[in-house]
Amino acid sequence: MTKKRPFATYLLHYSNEKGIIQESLLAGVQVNEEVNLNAHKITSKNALYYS
Amino acid sequence: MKKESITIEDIVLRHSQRGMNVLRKYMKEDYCKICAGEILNLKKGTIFLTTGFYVAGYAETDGPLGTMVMAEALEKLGFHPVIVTDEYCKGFFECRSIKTLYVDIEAGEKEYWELLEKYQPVGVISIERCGSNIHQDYTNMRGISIKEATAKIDILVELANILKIPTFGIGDGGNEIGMGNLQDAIARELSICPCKVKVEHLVLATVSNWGAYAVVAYFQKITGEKLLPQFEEIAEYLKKIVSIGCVDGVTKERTASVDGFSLHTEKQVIEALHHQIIGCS
Repeated sequence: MTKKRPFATYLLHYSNEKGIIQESLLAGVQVNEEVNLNAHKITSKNALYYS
Repeated sequence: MKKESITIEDIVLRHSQRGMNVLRKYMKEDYCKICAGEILNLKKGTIFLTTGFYVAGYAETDGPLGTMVMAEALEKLGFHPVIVTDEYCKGFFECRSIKTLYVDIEAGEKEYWELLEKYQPVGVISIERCGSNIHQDYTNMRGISIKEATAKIDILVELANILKIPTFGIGDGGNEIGMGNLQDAIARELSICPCKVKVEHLVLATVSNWGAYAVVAYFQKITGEKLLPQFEEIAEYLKKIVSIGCVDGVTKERTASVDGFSLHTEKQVIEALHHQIIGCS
């Protein structure tokens, strides 16, 4: 089962450069634990890192 | 029941957040010790070290600390460490009197061949340095390309591999030089496109700096020489490079922290390594 996280957590994780995701989140789109972006799966943990 | 002792490898995989503990099953149990032993077996001479992961106008704090500790330990052991990096680490190592070569972002095979020819290194060590993935791109954990801000020092490592110069890589995410050794496992078990560049000996850690400290801890265990600095010295150096511009790889802030871990955690890890060196696991 995919764990859901509060939107606020995602907004913290995804910076402005991920504007599309932020817009989706703001629109209330359901977001799974993993978000596929440009064929690179970004987990919520990976999304914490800029390195 | 016999209590299992904690190893140096256990210590540097504490607080794992990005799956390095998952990858451990693909490594030899004492991979840090093996790496340390192989470096100690090298003929004394010039040894290249590379680091510097671009984050926000500067390299991040993970990498330079481990590289400084490793370079100074190697110097005490009779090697001549030379750091090969790009402009985003400017000034980080001169303050410790460690020789540093800056390569241009556009440098290619020709320039790296020239470096190898001129310095004839006995080994090349990479600590938290982004390497090319199968798409010839250099990406961070978010999949964002940092190609335009990353000198292709992985070419140096690949050339060293061709020349049979021993290569060593320390990483904590999967996109660093050396992770090519576990390319298939990373692609299968973690959610990133891995670096394709291989090394002879790979070290995994929760924070790459800790992986470098682990190898130095083994140097100290094996040789009996005092090589791993105390926390206070490392913290002071961290504050110094942050004052130059170095940033945390999670917060992008100029703070004395590494990958979001506070100095408190850094202190715990360094002290645990010191305890392990003297056999108090």
